[in-house]
Amino acid sequence: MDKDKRLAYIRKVVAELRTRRLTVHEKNALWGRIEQATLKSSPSPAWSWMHRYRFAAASIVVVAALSILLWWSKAVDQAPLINRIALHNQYLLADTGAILLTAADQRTMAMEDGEVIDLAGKTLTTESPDQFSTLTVPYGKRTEILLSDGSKIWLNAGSQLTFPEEFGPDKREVYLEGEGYFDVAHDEGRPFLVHAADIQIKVLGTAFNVSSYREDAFVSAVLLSGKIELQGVGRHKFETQVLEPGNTAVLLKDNHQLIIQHRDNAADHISWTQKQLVLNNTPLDELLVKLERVYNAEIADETGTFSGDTFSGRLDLRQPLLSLLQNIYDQQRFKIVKSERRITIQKKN
Amino acid sequence: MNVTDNNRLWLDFIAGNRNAFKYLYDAHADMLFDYGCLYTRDADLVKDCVHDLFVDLYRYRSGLNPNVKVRAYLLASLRRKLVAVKRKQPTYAAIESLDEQITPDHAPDIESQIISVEKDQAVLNLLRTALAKLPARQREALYLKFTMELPYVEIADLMDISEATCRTLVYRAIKKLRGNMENQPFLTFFVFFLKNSL
Repeated sequence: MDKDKRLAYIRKVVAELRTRRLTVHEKNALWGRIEQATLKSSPSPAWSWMHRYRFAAASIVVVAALSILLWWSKAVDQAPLINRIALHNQYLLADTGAILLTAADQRTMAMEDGEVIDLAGKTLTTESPDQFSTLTVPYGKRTEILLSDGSKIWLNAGSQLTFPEEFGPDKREVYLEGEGYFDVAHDEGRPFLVHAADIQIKVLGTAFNVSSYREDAFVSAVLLSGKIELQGVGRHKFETQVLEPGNTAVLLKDNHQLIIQHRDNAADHISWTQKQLVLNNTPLDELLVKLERVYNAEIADETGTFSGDTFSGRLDLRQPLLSLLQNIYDQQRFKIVKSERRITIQKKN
Repeated sequence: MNVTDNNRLWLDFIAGNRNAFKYLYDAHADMLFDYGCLYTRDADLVKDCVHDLFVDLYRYRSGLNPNVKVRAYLLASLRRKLVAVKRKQPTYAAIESLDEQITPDHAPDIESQIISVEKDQAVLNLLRTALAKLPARQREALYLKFTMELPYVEIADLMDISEATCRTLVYRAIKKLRGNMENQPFLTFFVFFLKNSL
């Protein structure tokens, strides 16, 4: 057994020590308690302390103020703010209700499935570039949005886009969790930046697909036309890569490996915007994960028969999940059992 | 969220920014809860300690050190809180009882090992048993290293040992686990299975 594989096994087993996770509801409830306790806790005991050690307190204030100043000056070119706002809203993805558009003042609008959200030339509340809106598309849904600069973005199931209510004068920045297809309006003077958990993409005016699902082992970017610059973020440090049309870049999160290939089938990657799924030697596991997101279901293959197999072809995502699965699994040999959101595939005896 | 982001957030929070406080919670609550659950299976107790930790942070924010390693500091503070509760409650399950907690779920069931055609599954089962047998400190170090992805310096800080000791701890644990993967007794099992089924 080679060293990497051994280490991967150890990692996996050690991760199982994590016996229970905090659910989104628990996390929000706990924050509610903390918020109450801290809002009540006035006046802070630090006040009496400050009277006694006025000089020390004053210097702490000065240090803190300088730090904030430093932080603000850095924030302007590093833009962690949008990433932070995005992180803050990610809990919305766990709810599987309507497509939600959350404005900076936390006002929320529910959107119809399939409706195109048109924000061209509009602002939601204020015109400040520090105010961000979030569009949340739960599992089982899909939507299109036209941003104020005329750029159009298709968002796939289980995705979230965070964007300023008004783009700044020198750049346009958005944050993506999940999968989106971007058709960016050309604007030489204001590059378009897509931030994601592991990569950052700089665009002048072009069409490309980004898939950055938290639960996936990879991030991918596929360029259809124009030119984009790809950069690693955080743990993934690699030299900026310039992609040509037809290029597919895949970053493996585990070993930080970046694979760039030229494929003639780049357009297949955006088949989801037409409610289709084009498979090209796609492994079964990957196919099932995609179907789970599109249909907001849980699919458990207990047969183990096709685990190493890959699939090619075109699937129509407008048909019900059950009939789609019946195309994949021969009904003579397999039994498909559905109970609420969970679908189990078993071998017939 | 990377380290520099965390430091900015921390400074912001100390300066009294209420949003920074919320982000600090959002970014670390899951990690803290996971870590706390290593010490006790009482999830409510862990939540209470996380609650107290954040309330204290907010109350005493003006006196906090602006130059801490945020993740390690939060983890260490939570650990202190849990240990303090443990002193008050003699019935509290300490990390030593982790064995009990893991064994029933992950005990390698010999039959399923024999039947399992998947060699991977069998290796993982062996590893689970081996992991459960490791001393609690080694297990904790592995968890902090692999699952929390903390650097050795921070793990050492957190576990109150030197960085060298910490490396040795992790090294020994990996060596022991690796040993288990190299002497895989599959063939023995298989022969045993054949004999019994004839």
